[in-house]
Amino acid sequence: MSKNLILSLGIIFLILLIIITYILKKGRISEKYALLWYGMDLIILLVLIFHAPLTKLAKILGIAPLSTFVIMIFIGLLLSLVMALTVIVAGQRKKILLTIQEISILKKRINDIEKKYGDKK
Amino acid sequence: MKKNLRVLLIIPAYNEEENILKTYTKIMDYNKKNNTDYNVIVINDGSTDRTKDILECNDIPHIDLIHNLGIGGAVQTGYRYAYYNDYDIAIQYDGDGQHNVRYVKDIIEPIINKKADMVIGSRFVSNIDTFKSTFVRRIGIKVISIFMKLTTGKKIYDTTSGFRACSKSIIYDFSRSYPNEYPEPITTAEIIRKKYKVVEVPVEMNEREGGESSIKTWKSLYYMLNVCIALLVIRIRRYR
Repeated sequence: MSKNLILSLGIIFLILLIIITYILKKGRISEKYALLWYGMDLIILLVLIFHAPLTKLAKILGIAPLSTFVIMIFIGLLLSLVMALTVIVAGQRKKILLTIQEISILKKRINDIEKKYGDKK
Repeated sequence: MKKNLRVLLIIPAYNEEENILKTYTKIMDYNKKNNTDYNVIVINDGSTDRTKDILECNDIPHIDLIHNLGIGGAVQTGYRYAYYNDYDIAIQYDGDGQHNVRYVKDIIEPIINKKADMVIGSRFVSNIDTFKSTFVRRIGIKVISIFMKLTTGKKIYDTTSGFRACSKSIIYDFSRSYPNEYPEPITTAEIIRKKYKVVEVPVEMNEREGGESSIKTWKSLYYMLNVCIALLVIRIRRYR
């Protein structure tokens, strides 16, 4: 792995780490989802640490230059992240839907009660 | 026939200002003439026209969804309402004048006689001369029917019929989980896979009396493809 690539990955790792920690500190992201991003950052760190075996693996797979392999790993990571977010969105959507239904049913009950007892006030 | 069975007609309505009052009046007139007591709940799915005003001015029992949820979300609200209010049978009924209230007794009968858990009002199981949808949609319904047979082993002819009656146990199931998109064929397949009894009875349907259908012609193919994929997923999913 070239020095430039190591340096670039190191910078990406640090920037991501700082950004995640900053938005976590500001309370704009919950720990649960921050963990997902820390996991991504950790994988970048692992690529940095184990770049020697990674170079061998890239050779075995016939992927050259190594930077292409690193980009492929990044794309894979991003796709996994998008998949995880899709699952999260689907879950949130279900919860929002049920909340809207419950609120609407409760609103009807309140209206019915108000109609029934409203005249007696 | 048990006298005290409580029957609820769930009518989802999105921008149905032209039809909703006529639909409700027809049901109430039928109740008066035939000494029946079909209750109605209209689910106003965040309509942007005068539907809400019409429901309020005419004292039609309704739930105003605080946000548009789509057909599945609206119908599920009706099932939740039916479950909370302990109804024995819930019927999905279109607000656009397509369904005919005189067939309600036919679609609830198999449930009352314990011969079915879900009854589908079908346009294709008899020779009744009725409105049977456009050519493109009929082809789509046929294809979905073939997929339904492949995934559940049961032949359902009118896979997209929105005129359905459900027993108490299915009301409970639907109140907990109901798909938001393409709900009719998907829920039918799920119900069959859960070993509930589903039957079709012949009904007459009319063309819409006004307004616009939620499924436009150009979307029929897209609808069919999605439903077929969903049915295949249901085949590999585990139930109970």
